Amino acid sequence: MIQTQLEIIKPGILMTIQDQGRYEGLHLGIPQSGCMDTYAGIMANRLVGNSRNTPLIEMTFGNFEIRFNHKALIAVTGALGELFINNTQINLWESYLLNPGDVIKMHDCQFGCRNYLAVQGEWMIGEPQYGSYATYIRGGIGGLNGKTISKGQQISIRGQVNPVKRKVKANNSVYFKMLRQSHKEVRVSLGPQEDSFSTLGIKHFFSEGYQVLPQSDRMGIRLSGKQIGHVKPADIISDGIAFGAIQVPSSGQPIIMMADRQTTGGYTKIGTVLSDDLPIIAQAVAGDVLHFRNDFKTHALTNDIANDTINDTAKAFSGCDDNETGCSILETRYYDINVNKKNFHIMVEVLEDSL
Amino acid sequence: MEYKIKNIGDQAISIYFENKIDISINQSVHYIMDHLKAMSLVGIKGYVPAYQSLMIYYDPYILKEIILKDILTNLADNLGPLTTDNKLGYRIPVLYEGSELAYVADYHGMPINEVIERHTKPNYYIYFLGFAPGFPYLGGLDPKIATPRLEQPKIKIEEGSVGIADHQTGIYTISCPGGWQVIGKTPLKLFRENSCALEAGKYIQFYAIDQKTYDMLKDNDDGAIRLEVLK
Repeated sequence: MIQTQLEIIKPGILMTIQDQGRYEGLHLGIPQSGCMDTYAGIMANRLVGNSRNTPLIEMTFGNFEIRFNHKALIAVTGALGELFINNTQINLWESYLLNPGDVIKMHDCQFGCRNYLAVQGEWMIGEPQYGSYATYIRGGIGGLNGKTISKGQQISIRGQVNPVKRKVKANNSVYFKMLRQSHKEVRVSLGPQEDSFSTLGIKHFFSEGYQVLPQSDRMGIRLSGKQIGHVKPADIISDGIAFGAIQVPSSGQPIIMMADRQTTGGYTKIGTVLSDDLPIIAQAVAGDVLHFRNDFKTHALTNDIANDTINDTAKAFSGCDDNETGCSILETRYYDINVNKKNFHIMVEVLEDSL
Repeated sequence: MEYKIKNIGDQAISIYFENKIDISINQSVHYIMDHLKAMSLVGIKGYVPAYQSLMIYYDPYILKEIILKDILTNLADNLGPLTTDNKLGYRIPVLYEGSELAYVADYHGMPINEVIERHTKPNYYIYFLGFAPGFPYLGGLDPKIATPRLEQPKIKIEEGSVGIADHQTGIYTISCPGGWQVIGKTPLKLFRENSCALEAGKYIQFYAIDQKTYDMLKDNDDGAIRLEVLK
């Protein structure tokens, strides 16, 4: 059993322990928290052979430096930028086997703003709270004593006996293309207070661009653009706020509610970002312009046939989450297919073995 | 009871009852949530009950949308007997003090003691917990002491603060920014690392204590609050 230990030399602006979020406390008013970019989080863990909900580290705006005191299998996903092991530049979205004393280091993010560091093994960070290791800073819950990770902090991780050196690559052309664009298309499902808005307001929402403001954070992404008019009051009887819900207060300027959002709130919501497009929001930086698209399509997952197809694929990957097999994900491809006269948008991961 | 079921993006479904703040409507929300929890449906990730709605986070890979909607419809069409007015709840000690307490009294042209009397008289119904961990949304504030929020919100309202904002009253379970008129504080720690003292659907009654009792309760606080039948 290898005990690896990492030490934070530079935490960057905001470094926290996260996982796929906390759902057990939602009815108690405890926010979901967790990875802002859940996709990058899942892939980081997959690249090192961890199960998808293993804790990992979320970094913001790069500029982090971490030393590993023992051998470790790691991967960094998320925003693009220059990443190094000691003085050798390496790739993001790829796993590497580190030697004792190795330092991983990243400069500024070039495209996007959040990164995820997964380390193979069991993270020795105490017990989960309300079922999750996600950090909710305001409430002091989760992570490392409910706080951000600071310089000098050490984290122990208990690894495999013989970590299989998996050189796996995830080549997400669609995701990388999205990171590089400053104008981004975002699919939205309308509601639940869609009838509180004027027809013109809804038209603006789906035709104009909305610019990301610097006052954005893990609670919400604030936008500025053409005012979205109301026909009913912007204040409502408080209801639940989903991940990616788009609130529009009386100012007419939208806010996309993200990981650390309050569980309930009293402002009208025009729509919810589809979960596949949430990473777009998680990686948006001030100055980016979002273009919302009304998505009538029922999410592929909710249809019988699609369900079975994707479930089988998911089962194949869960083999990756166990230790032995070197499961190389070479590429992620997207297809639009038509089955029994219905259209689906599907994602396929091409495995090395299959070629 | 009339209701609507709506998709919230592709990761949640909500059921909305009539658009008003009403105890029996809220009890229907909790009835549905409690029954869903009892079913232990695989694929449901979490619940957000609010005044007249329940949002259910689910995993569409595991639980099909149409099945969840079917179950919800069934429950909503067959609402069982709701809780009677047997007022089961918590007694919360409060040290009433501070400049905002004086402000509230002054605002309504009544002595401070009357504010305290009016605040401690009702049994407040807990509609749900939200806004912050363990923060109770309470109903039943005496309209004679309803007071507008602070013009300028404070950067920090201390945990344990008891306040009034328009027709709402409540307790800050964590320190955070806010605009409520803080009329006192409770020594009890209502939200902890792994437990929440308050439960929605129950009631709260405030009672006045002095500084000495406050200090003693604060030192001896083990987080346990008894549920009792309130008079």
